Amino acid sequence: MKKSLKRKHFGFKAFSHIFFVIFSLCCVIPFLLLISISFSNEKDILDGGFSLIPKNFSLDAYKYVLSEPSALVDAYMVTGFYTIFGTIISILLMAGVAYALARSTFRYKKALTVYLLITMLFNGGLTSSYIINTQVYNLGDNLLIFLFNGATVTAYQIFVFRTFFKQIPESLIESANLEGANEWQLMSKIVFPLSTPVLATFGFMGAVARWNNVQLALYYITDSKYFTLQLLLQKILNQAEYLNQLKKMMDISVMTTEIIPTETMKFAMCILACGPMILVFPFFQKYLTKGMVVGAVKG
Amino acid sequence: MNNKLTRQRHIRENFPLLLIAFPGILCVFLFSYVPMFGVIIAFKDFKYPLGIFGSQWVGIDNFKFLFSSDYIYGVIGRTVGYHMLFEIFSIVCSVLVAVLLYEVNSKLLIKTYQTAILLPSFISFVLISYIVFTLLSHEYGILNNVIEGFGGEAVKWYNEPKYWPAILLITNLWKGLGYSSLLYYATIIGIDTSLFEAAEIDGANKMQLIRHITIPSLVPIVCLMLIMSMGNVMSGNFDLFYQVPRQSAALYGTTDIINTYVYRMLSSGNITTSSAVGFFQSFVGTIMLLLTNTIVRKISPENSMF
Repeated sequence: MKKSLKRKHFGFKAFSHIFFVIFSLCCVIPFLLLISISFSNEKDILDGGFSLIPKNFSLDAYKYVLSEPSALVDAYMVTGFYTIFGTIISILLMAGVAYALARSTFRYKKALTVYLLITMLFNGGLTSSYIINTQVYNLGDNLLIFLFNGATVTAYQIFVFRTFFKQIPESLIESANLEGANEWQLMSKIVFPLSTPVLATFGFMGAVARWNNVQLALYYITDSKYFTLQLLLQKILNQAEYLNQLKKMMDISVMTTEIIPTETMKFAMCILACGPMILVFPFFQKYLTKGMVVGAVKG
Repeated sequence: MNNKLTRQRHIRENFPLLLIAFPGILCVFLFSYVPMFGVIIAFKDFKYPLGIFGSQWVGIDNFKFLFSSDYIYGVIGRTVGYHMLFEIFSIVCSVLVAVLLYEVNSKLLIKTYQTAILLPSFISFVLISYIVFTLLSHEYGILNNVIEGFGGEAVKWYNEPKYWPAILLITNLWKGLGYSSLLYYATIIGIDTSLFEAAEIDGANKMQLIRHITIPSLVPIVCLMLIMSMGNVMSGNFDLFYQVPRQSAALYGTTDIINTYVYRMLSSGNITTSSAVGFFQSFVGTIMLLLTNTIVRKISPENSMF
């Protein structure tokens, strides 16, 4: 009986495997393509265009880019600063508000909830935020914009945090309170440690979003000193002037051929800037899937 | 008097909690509330040297000017049109992916497939614009190589508007499918397996199982997602529409949506147009959110905002 059922479904199973193999390849091959182009010989590309398998292997693009890596190093520093400190500050600020909302003794729960809900409904939009951030707060071309911006504190995440903090038994907090622990100690010694999974998940998701974010830097940063990796890559691909400016600083003598590897250089930059993130991705994938499930429980 | 005393006592009792919440509350005030009042820019003739308060009030002149040109209607239409197109394709394809993934039995293979199809949702749109560029570049692009290989003529993709709705749709699906299918996959896993077993014993084949058990179990969540997505109908994906077409001016007629238009006006110094479009976007966005939330509260209260 069982066997016949299995055989009946064989065709469908095979179809789903074929589908996923093709779909998976479609998702992975483009990245191999980027890597392969970065290791290609510039001349091959000028003659025959991009290809998945490099005709002649060449390290010229990397040598050339790394002969003057300051733009890349600066961008790494800025992106690291944004990703690490931006995420930590954001999580701490939101967890603080969520902690107050979760405490039964807090009297302003309703007012604070309404205060936060309003921000989910109304927003000033880009123009208004831009004018205020640059003209009033003076955050244009300022590293502080990476720490404090419209995405630092979001009502939605506060509500998710609150739901999780509320699941901690009240008796645990009460007993610690009776033994003389103050609010700060309750929060940092009991509530936060017990909520590490949700804090870590959102921390991870926030870090990925910040690493990949290009809008913030695009809007607020014009000084190339403060470019993030994503903005740097965007300028290299789309702005010939910026690319030429970069090329002038680089050292042509490190290459084996005399053609400046303009095309392959873009891709070498791309791999150097994004490679590390793609490599670590599979190890953190579970947080991504978990975050999805966590986000669904709002309450 | 008495009232005032109790209020003071309440504040004193809650002072440590207020202190803990204060930085977050302040951040919300500075970056959400102040810009909400900043929308008055849309009703002023904003000049940088004069500032927000110094600039002259012009009433609804900015809007009159904005809606007097035909271009803005195209921008609004595209924002809404692309949103609905993406949403429908994304839901249909995610359900398909989830249904097929459920057929895969091996844990290891499920994990492998998921890792692969989640990869695109993990990278930035800048990187995606590089990938699209390798395919579509006029001189070196793979697609043109293939076309020429078959004896066709190379296409200047970045100058040909007619292909872009399809290109954007595919790019958007490719990036989002892995992630959006997770939700439906989780729902299918949640279906009571005894339902499938009972139906199989009664002689149902695979297609019948999917049609009569899997799909009906997904209907509520699909409806909910569709309704909820209507709340964001005015908020287009800036990165997709800005990065992937590489800001090619020849494509504005098919790729320009409200978000990219607002940004372009803002960066070229045309604050009055930018703020008027932005205000329109926020205003309609809020109405749509209120509407969808009212519906969601009726059909699925636990998913409503308030």
